[in-house]
Amino acid sequence: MDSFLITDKDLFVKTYQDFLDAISEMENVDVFYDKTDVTKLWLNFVGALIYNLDFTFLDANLSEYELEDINQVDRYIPIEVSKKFFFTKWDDLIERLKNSSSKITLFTSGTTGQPKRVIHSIQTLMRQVRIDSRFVNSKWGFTYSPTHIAGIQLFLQAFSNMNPIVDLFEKNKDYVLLTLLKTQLTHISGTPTFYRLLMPCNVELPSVIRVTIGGEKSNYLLVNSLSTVFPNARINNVYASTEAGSLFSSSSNGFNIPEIFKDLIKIEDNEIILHNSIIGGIGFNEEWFQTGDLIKWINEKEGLFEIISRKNEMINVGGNKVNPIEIEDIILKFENVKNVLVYGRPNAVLGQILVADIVLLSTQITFDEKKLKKYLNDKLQPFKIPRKIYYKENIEVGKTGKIKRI
Amino acid sequence: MNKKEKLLKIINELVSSKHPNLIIPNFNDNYDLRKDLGLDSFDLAELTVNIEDEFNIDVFENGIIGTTNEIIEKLVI
Repeated sequence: MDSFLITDKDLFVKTYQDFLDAISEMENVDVFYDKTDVTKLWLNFVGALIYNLDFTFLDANLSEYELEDINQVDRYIPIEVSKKFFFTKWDDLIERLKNSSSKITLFTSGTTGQPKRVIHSIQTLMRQVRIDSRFVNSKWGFTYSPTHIAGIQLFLQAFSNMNPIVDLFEKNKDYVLLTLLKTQLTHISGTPTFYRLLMPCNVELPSVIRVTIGGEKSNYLLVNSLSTVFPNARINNVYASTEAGSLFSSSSNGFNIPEIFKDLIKIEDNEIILHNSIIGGIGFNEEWFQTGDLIKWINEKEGLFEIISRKNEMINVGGNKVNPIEIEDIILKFENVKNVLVYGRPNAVLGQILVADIVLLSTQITFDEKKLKKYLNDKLQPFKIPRKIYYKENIEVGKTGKIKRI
Repeated sequence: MNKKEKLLKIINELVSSKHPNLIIPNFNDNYDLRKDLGLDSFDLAELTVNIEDEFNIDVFENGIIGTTNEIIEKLVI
C-alpha cells in the first residue's frame, strides 16, 4: 500500500497498511490529544471515530495558564477497547468513520479571553471531503497545525483517498522546497504566511496542480509569485472558520456563496452569518451563527464580495487568531504596568504582527522587558506574545470610552 | 553610530535574545537570516518592524528577503 506519511522523523507507521495493522492491534485510545507526535494523533483520532469515542484536539504548546479553564476531567484518560476491528477494504474503514457518532472538540481563540470550545461531528468535518478516482495519484503537502480545523480537514481528505501526506508543518524553506521537488507533490494548502516564507523562490514546481491559500487575507502580489513557482497549479483562496471548516473558495479575492449553501449562509449588515446546520454547533442553540467576518460587496447583484476585516477585535497573526484582550489582561498583571493596549500592525511576513503600547506606573523604574517576555512565554503560545513594545505616556480613548485599538 | 552599525545592533539584539552566544561582528560576511542566524517567521516579522522604526523602510515589503546583504541593499547603506 501507499505511503501514509512522508516526514523527516522516524515512524512506526509508514504505509496505509501499517496504519490498518495499528488500528487492528489497538488496545486503548487516547481521546484527549495534546502531544506533538502527529502519527499517534491521527491513529488515536481515527481509533476514536471507529469506536464512537469523543475526541479532543488541543495544541501541544498551550501553557498551564491557558489550560486553566479547561475541565481537568477532559485530560488524558486512555480508554481501553476490547473489541477489535479488522478492515480488509479501505472503503469499509472510511464508511465506518463517516457514520461515527463521536463528538470532536477543537479550541479556538474566544472573545472572552479563554479558549473557546467548538464541538463538531465527523459529518460536518467531512462535508467537503471528496473521495474520487481523480485523487488516486494525489500527494498532499501538510502545512497546518494538525490540531486545527484546516489540518484536520486536510488529513481527512488525504486519508479518505489513501493519499500520501507530506509533513511540511513548521519546516524551513529549504526543507519545504527540496521535499516538494523530491516527492512530486500535487496538492498544497497553507496560509499566506507559509507561502510568503517560501519567497523569493527561483525553482519551478510543475508537479503541483492545486495551491490553496487560507486562514488569512491573501493578496495579488502573493498569488502572482505563486503562479511562477507553481506554473501548472490552479490557485484558490478559501474561506474557512473553526466553527464551520472550509466553506467556499475562489480563484480571486472575490467570493460567491455556493449554490448548495444559498439558504444556509447569508450576509447581514455586511457580516457573514452561518446556519447552525453547517457549523460544528453541537451545544449551540441559536439558529444562526455570526462569524464576525465582514465583507465588502464587489458586485452585490451578482453576490460577489471580498472579506475585509473582523467585526470583533481578533487579530490574525500568520493564520492564528489572537484575542488582544486576553493578552492585555496578562500584561496588566505584570509589575509596573499601569495600562496596556495590544493591537495588530500590518507586517509583510505575518500579515499582522502583535504590538503592545505600555503605560508604566512609574517612569523612574527601569522596566525589564526581557523579564516581561519571559513571563509571557511561560503563559502564552508564542504567536500570542507581542513582538514589539512601545512605551507611551497614555493610551488614547475613543468617543465611546473604549480604548482605540487601531 | 552609522547606519550599518545601527542595523548590526538591531540584528544582534534579536539574534542574542534567541541564541545568547551568537553575535555577528560585522557585515563582512553575508549571513542567511534563517539558516545562519536561526530566525523564524516571528523573528523576521520583528526584525522588519525594528528596521522600519529605525530607517522608515519596510525591507520585506516586496517579498521576504533572505540575507543580511539583501537588507543592506534594500536600505542602500
